[in-house]
Amino acid sequence: MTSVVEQRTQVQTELTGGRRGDSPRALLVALPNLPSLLLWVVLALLLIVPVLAFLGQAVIPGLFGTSKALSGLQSFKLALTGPTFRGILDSLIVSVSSATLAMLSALGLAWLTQRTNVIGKKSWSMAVWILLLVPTYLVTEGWQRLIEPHGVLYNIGINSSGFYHVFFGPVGVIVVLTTSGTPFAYLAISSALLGLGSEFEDAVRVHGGGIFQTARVVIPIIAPAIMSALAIVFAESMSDFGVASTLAAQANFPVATYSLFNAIDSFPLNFGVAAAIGWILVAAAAIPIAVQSRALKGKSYEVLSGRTRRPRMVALGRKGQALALIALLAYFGIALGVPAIGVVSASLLSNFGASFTTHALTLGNYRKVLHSSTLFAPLTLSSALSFVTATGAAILGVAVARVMTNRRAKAAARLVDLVMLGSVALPAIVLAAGYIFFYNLPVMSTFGINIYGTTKLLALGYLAGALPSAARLLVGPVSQIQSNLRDAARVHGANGRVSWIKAQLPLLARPVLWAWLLTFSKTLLELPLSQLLYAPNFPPISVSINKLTAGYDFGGGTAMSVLALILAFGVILIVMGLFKLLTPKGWQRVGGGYTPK
Amino acid sequence: MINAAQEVRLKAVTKSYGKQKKALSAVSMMVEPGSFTVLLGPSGSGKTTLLRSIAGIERISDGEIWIGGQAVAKGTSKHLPPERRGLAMVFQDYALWPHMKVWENVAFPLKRQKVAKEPTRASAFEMLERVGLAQHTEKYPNELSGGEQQRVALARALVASPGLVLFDEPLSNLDADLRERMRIEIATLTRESGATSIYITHDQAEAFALSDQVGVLERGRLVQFGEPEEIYNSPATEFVARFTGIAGEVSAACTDQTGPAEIGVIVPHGFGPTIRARSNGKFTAGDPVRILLRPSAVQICDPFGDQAQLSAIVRDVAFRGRGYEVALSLQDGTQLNSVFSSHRMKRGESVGVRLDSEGCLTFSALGELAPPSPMIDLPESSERELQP
Repeated sequence: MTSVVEQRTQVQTELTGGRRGDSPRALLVALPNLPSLLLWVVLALLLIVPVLAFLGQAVIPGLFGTSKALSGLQSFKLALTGPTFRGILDSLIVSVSSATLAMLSALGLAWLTQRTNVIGKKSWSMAVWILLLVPTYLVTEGWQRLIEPHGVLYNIGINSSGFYHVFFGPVGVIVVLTTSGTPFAYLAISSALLGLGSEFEDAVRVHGGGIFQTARVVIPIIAPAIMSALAIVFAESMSDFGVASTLAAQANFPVATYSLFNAIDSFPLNFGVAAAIGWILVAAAAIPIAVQSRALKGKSYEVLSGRTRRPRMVALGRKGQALALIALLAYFGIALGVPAIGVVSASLLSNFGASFTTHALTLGNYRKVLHSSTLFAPLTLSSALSFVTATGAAILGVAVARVMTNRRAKAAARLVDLVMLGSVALPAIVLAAGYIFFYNLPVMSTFGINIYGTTKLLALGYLAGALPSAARLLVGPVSQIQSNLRDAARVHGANGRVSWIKAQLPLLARPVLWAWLLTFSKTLLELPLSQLLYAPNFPPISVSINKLTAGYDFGGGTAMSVLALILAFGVILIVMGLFKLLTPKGWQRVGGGYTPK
Repeated sequence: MINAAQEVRLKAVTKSYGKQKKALSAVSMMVEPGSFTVLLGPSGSGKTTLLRSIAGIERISDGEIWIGGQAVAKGTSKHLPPERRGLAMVFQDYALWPHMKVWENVAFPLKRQKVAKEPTRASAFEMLERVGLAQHTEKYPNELSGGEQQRVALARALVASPGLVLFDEPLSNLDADLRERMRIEIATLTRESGATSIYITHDQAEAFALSDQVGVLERGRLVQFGEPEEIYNSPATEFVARFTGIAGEVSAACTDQTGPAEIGVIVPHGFGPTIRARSNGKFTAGDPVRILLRPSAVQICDPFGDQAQLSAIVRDVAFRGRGYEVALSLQDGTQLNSVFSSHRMKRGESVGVRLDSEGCLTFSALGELAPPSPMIDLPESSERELQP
């Protein structure tokens, strides 16, 4: 979902010509060529058809020969009554709350890191990136292990039962969704603040305005970024399955995504109701994203002024530094510190999860995960799947981004843009349900596609889930590459292929690297698609952690969580190191990318 | 290897975007080998489209483009890609590849010609030395100033000794002082290379300073093509006259036509019976006309002296180093700008104005139709077609 945030910086290039006339040759050129036809087939099989086939169940019961237990729009009626309706309302309430809180937190964080001389700027920005990569179910697990009855705090003699009852409900859900949504909001707002320059503030100050008047002038200028932040965190929170399936489910606080999961995970399967909930989830996420996307068309904060000066830093005094550091430590303490302490401490306790026994510090849980073939297998499986997904998403992402920025095929660009925007708003749980429905249809066997119940289906699901984000991440860098660079290469003797490889690909190397790394680490710890699509006996990491936790092997579950995180961050460091070592120096200087500032 | 300077011929080149917008309308011209041709026009006149069509970056909709006796574009049926046209180009925004070092940027055309590694490097360094960037070879483009980047772009264009070099408003992003220095460098280095040059700009001073031939474009049509002196002294249309610089205009009436290029006019509030002016049209006595005045045609004199033909008041005076640039207001309120004076004058001072007939250009006050693009016949024998 980073992609929607990235959309903010997307430079809207204007048509500068190059379109062909209406000759027969021109018409021929306008027809989709083989690579773009292939791309459409891939997009159709990966995203469009499975999701539409599933969602169609709510509107046309019996579509594709499925059961006609419900007629007409009865699925919607059922979805909008009883516990499912309660779940939808709960989802809306927590999403609005977490979006507002995350936006406010991000505004504060962005101001401190981008416009003041607060100590440890780089570390705080890095912390935001770590927060972005840690899935919500791991954050929840950390809190849970720490404060639950007989949890870590209890074992060291602290009674946290009062706090546990407050936290295990809407409060906890909102806290976790706020902290996990903050990075998205931060990315939108910090770029806007950085690109704003100091002219607007200077103009207010020289005309007699104080700090409050300055804020009154500047905040409306960055209002689109604030709206983006609200939209993206709202959409993320509505789509979340990590908190829904752990904290919310255990606290009997139903939310929409878990209601959908229940509809297709318990017998009898009810695809109609699940699809109706799917429609509501898609609409709830798509509407704000579409509104902000439309509002941002053609706007780029970086070009507000052609002569934007670097913003002046606010020098915090000793008191200001102290207050800022306390605020930052408190925030990241809640967002990362507490869950990390919870998970790591639980992973180091023996017999954790078993009541009425003594606990001792041990590395036994790690030894168990690393030495047991059953527990180690998910780590290797998820690594392999993440590698394949990240590579596929990076390649397809570049292809899709090129179509989206193609000035000569405007209609195709708009259509792909629409599909990608819709997919960004598509909760993973809806995509997973679509896959279960579509790839299990008898007609798929007729076409020889028998991947239901296999790891191949999970891999396809991962790719479908990751592609929209990767494409959106890459569309900005792809559109920002001046076409003149390629023209210059062609005029000076390079053919079409060579000019792209020599003059444009190197400029994309860093964004592609970041897209790969983000996809890899997100896929490694992915939950909703894994939970619904994994092949029996071949669980990926997230499913194994949940299984261990469900079996009260909290030590094993948390040890696997820690190992998975070490694996994710280790791969990031190694790949970044290799990129630095192996690529020409010039490649590393260009292409922007998403280096923490 | 030094490539021979190429002749460039355009025959009724048309470029349309969809059905409505015509960016180029039947443009025909011939550029002599080794000459420096400047295409002059305001934004939207089609000069960039024309240059990009010659480069092969744009496909033309109709007409023909010939480079060195070879057809490189014929309507929509033939389009030779840029890399096969044997030319080089300097881009408006330099288009230097940011991931390549300065010398690597310059070496690119030689690498594409499969020149060996060492000679390539040596040629790139030598070219960079010629443009004064010997000490910047290992830097990246973003470490250089705008002027230095433009020099790299120039070096890249000239390093492989192309037969044709195209310039897309290369000085428009530079400040005034740097523009002048770069203009001289472009003129000398390109002429030394012997290549044919086609240069586009919207700046008439730049065009006249650089060119052997000037083509003036208006709304996709080539309205005049000739030597700079001819364009300045005998503009084909009122648009050309205005675009190449006037001090102002006065309304008048024709009194007589003494020759094909000279008429007598009577100006309201004028002291004398008639003023002589240049004309390239036919007028009869009584025809309303507009006299466009070149700055050099307006001379300030004693308001009560014999030479004064009009009276005016000084509105503004600007010191320009070699003298003063004066803005005058005639009796009927007409403004004349950029009038030269060797001494400082007072604002509000009354002066006399004398008009030199060489810089008085007469056009009908009833409007005019722009002449069609000058057509040229291509000698069939010299044509050799290349298959795309």
